Amino acid sequence: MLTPSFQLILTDPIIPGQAAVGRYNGKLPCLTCATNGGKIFVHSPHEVAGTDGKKVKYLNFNRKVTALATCDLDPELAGRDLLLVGTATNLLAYDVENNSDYFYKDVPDGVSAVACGELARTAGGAKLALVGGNCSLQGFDADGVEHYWSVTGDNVAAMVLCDVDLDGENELVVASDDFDIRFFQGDEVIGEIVEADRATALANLSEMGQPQVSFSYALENGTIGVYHNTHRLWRVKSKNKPICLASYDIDGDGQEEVISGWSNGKVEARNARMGEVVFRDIFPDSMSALIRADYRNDGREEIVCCSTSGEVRGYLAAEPEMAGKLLETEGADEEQLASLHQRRQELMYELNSYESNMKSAQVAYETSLSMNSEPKKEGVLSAITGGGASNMSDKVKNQLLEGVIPSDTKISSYTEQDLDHQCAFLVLSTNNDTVIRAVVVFGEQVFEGESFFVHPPNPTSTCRVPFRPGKESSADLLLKVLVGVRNSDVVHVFELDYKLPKFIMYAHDASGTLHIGDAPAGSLTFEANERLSRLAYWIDASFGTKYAESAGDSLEAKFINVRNNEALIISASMTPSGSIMVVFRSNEMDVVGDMVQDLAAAVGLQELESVADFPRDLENFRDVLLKVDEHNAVRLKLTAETADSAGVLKALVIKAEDARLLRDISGMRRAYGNLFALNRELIAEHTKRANNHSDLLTLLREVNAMIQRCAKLRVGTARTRIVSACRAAIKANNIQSLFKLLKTGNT
Amino acid sequence: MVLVPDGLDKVWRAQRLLLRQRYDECIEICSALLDKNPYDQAVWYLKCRALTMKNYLDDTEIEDEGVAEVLLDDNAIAKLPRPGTSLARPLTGAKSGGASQGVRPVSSSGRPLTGFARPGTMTRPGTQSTDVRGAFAGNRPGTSRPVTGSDRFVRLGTASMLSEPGGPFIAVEKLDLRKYAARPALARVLCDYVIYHDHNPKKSLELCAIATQLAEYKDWWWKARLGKSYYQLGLLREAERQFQSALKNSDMVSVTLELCKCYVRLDQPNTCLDAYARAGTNHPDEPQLELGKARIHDAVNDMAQSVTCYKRVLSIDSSNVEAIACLGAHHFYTDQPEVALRFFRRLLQMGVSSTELWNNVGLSCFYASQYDMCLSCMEKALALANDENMADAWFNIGTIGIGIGDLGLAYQSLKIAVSIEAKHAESFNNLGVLELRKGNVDQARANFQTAASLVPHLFEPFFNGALLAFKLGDFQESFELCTKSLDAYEDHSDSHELLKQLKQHFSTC
Repeated sequence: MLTPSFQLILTDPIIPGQAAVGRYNGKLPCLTCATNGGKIFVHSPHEVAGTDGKKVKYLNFNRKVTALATCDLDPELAGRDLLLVGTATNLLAYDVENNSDYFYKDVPDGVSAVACGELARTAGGAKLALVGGNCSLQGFDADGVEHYWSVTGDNVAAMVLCDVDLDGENELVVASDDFDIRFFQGDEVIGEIVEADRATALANLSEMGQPQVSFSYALENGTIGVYHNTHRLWRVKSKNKPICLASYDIDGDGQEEVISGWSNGKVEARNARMGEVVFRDIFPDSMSALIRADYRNDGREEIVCCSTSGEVRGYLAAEPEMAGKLLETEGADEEQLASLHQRRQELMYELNSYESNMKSAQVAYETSLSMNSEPKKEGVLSAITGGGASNMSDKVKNQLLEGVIPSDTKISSYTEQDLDHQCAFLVLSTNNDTVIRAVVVFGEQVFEGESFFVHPPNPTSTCRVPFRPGKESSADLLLKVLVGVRNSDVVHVFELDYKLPKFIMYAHDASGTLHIGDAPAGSLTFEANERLSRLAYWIDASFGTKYAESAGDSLEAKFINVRNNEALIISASMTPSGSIMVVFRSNEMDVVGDMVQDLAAAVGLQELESVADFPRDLENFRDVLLKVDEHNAVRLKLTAETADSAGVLKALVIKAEDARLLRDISGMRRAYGNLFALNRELIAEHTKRANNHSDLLTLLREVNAMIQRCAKLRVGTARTRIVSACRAAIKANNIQSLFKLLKTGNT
Repeated sequence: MVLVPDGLDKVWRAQRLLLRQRYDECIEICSALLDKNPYDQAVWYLKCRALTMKNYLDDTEIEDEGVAEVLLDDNAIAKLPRPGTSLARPLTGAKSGGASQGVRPVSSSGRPLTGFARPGTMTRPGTQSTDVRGAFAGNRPGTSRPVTGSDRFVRLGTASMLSEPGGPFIAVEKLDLRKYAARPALARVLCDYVIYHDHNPKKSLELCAIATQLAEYKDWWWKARLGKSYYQLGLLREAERQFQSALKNSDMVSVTLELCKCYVRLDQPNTCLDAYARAGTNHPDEPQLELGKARIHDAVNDMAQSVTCYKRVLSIDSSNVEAIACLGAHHFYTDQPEVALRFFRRLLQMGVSSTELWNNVGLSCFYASQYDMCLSCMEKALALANDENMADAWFNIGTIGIGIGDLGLAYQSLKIAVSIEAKHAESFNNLGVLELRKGNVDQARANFQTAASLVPHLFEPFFNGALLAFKLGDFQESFELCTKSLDAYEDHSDSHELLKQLKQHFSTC
């Protein structure tokens, strides 16, 4: 059992995920946490008590702190840390020691995550403060100059710098609200993982020379796990929510463990490679942050665990001889005894159920014998035995007694789409008269909560499992099919795997019978140096069609999006030079982007330039840009008005107070009356402002999302180029060139 | 009525009058012209300019925080910053590099008296002492009260309408600002008019925003005015951003000064100094920048630094009143009254003549042993004095009286001082000492108590009271007063000594 090396009870609550340890004077560590009321507190245990001897100092920001980090951003400060504070519209780098701003930047997209460090292929290796906001990523250097800008699919939930591809330079790992985890190497996206839920935390594991692990992640649905590059090593799921992650070698074996803090106050250390629990402790409240720092300033790093109520404990790595004994508690023997007892209980229940089943089968068998003389009925027994009960062999009888199904029973499966219900079905059927009593499907990202249970009230030999995945992903379904005979409670479990094609939600219109309305207006055209058959293979693999056999010089495949009945047409033809010309026709840019990326990954295309024409989306985008301008103007006006009223408000408060001192009661009443009216007005103004702000955020996010969508229509340098060019165009307010960029990828 | 001779172009006349700063006459001519032709842009321009100049305030200098701002605004980030990094927590003791509190008296905000009374810095209380009572009391107890809001910038709609028959010259609320913003020359005049005459930052903000946009975000002037509007509205962060952006377009001293005003309001003296230093590389011989630096160093009580800055100011601009006065005060309190006298004489030569200056000259003469001069100086001071500073003059005469051993004169002068200003704590304190010498113990005690209750930042009444109580055997009261004395001046060795004795006494009996 590991005991904390120190324990503090701070009086202020700590907002989850917003705590950091910084050495603001370059020497002494201070714990800095965001707390209620737009404040940050700094606990400095080592500071020589000043005139007042208080160890906790408050920093006042007057607005909600959304992200917090400490970092020695400027090498000129000689190891002194700066405090980076993100709010809904700004990023402030603050020098705590000198009480001065380092820089204060507007970040209209908001700051939802901050990371700090060197990013590969950016800013010449200088340290950057990386900010993740609404669909956007920004990097500022020590002078507050923007050196990095990129877009992600959605609001950034967590970020960490991590050497994913082991090239000695850090990539930026970004988890966003669309459940994606992306790796950015400079401007380029070098990897993308789709997870099952919103990530709440990421932590770098690659630091201590463990080449086989990259980073750990935690999801809102209770999952934590570890990735190596895009390959998942392990994951565990629990009913609590993981809040924070860190990596620290708590058992002293030289390799870092994944430390996780949970909403129920549990702190857990798991082996990074395998995932087994190494150490566990419990706090009375939900955890809020885990920080690796030398907080006692004795040269040894600890893991500092903070809970939401302000309790802070530090754990020092165990001595090597303690390894493997961290989990042992004093009551270990009793616990083991209790668990053995429980196991015994479970076995007893199992035995009982077997016995009662035998009995009921016996009864059924006897009834069937007594029914033997009667005419054959469409009944349970006859179906199973395949003939009259008269020629029932002993074997069959035994089978029946045990509720056993025929040994040649097989489950076949295929998928079909249903346009009316806007979903797809996985159809399972047995090859004989056994019935499917229930199906348990487990598939990440396909179902909410990852698993699905179908239990038909009237079991038959086929069973349809409906599903409608939220996003396109090629998922492996693990099925447990419970097959039984009709009158028996005993079921046999068939375990099956089913690989869903990635674009399962697109119904293939093979015969042209499906009703496809007008041809889609949008199109994407590109030329790829590939053979047509490879494209056909890709279509087959991702849509579940069969084009590969019949590929000629040209190809046209029509699909319907099951979710919204939009048509999608893929056509391709050979060009004289031996490459292929591919045209995607669809009204949905997102979909085409996904497909282009998937295609490029499948056939190994490194570079892909394309010409996009999506009139509907572009028209919408034009509206969005206009509205952004409008909202910005309104925001300016509202801000000025509010500030003006606030000034008057202040004067009124003082005037009322003056009147009170002068005993001028009627004057005081007048002042307070005005104050009341003005206050009400201000509240109304505030609502207006809040609405305007949230609208503006949505619009800005739409702008970023559009850039992301357009970028996804290209691969390689074209993709990277378009993002930075779009940023430049938006900064210069050059709408014309922006649209040209979005269409052709070139200015 | 201004007469314009026949054959003289009235517009030209108005233009000359504007140049000669005879605004009222200029306005009169323009009004008459505009009555005839309201669409004459040149005349409109002249009148607008004249009205603006009439109401113009150099707002890079004036920094007045009203009670409302002090009490209700919370712009500072750090609640309890390290001493010396915040205007609310100046350096104390030996770190400041100046004279100790025992020699140099402190103002109500706990920092030494500077040689120059400037707006803002004197009234602004430290955050830890921000209470309603403290904010309402002025820098001199009892005599004044700070303005309610930033009253200089508050719109006085009725007043401006009264001053102009037939309603205001420009009804800004009704103007189509977009139209005006497109005409660069008129827009600038209008903008200044709105800021300085109408004091309507909301409208000027709107105008500036449109104009900045039309100038493709490249015009520093509009950005600076935008920043000024934000600043007047109290949106400091936005103002800061505009000023910085303006500085990027064109490095102007005035913009730097305004930017630094933002940092002062945000209570970030170090950032402020950085900004001054950055501007200083491009404008090495700009006295305003050096002066700004000196003021900041002064405000955080970094005497050594501020004196260096004041000296630099003087080497650039040898007739800078503020620098001369501050250096004079510095030398006076660092026990060099002769040097101080030279500085004050320089001020006199420059034509400055006020009670305060004569007070200083008189005291410097006294400490420089030029006794023949000092009383005549004090006479001059009294001759110039008004109700606000007469008590100070009498107090100084009292001090001189004590110095030359003329206790009768001292007693009389101090009595006059408190009769003029019933809240002159320093006089009460000295009176108390004199009463004690006369053997009027109860009188003395009452005087100390009055002084202490009037100005809690002076340590002398507390210590005197403590000493008296100790001698009278009232140890409990002595202990309490002694602690208070140490609160006001933590390094006071006599108080420490007394406290030690008291503790010893308490532990033995």
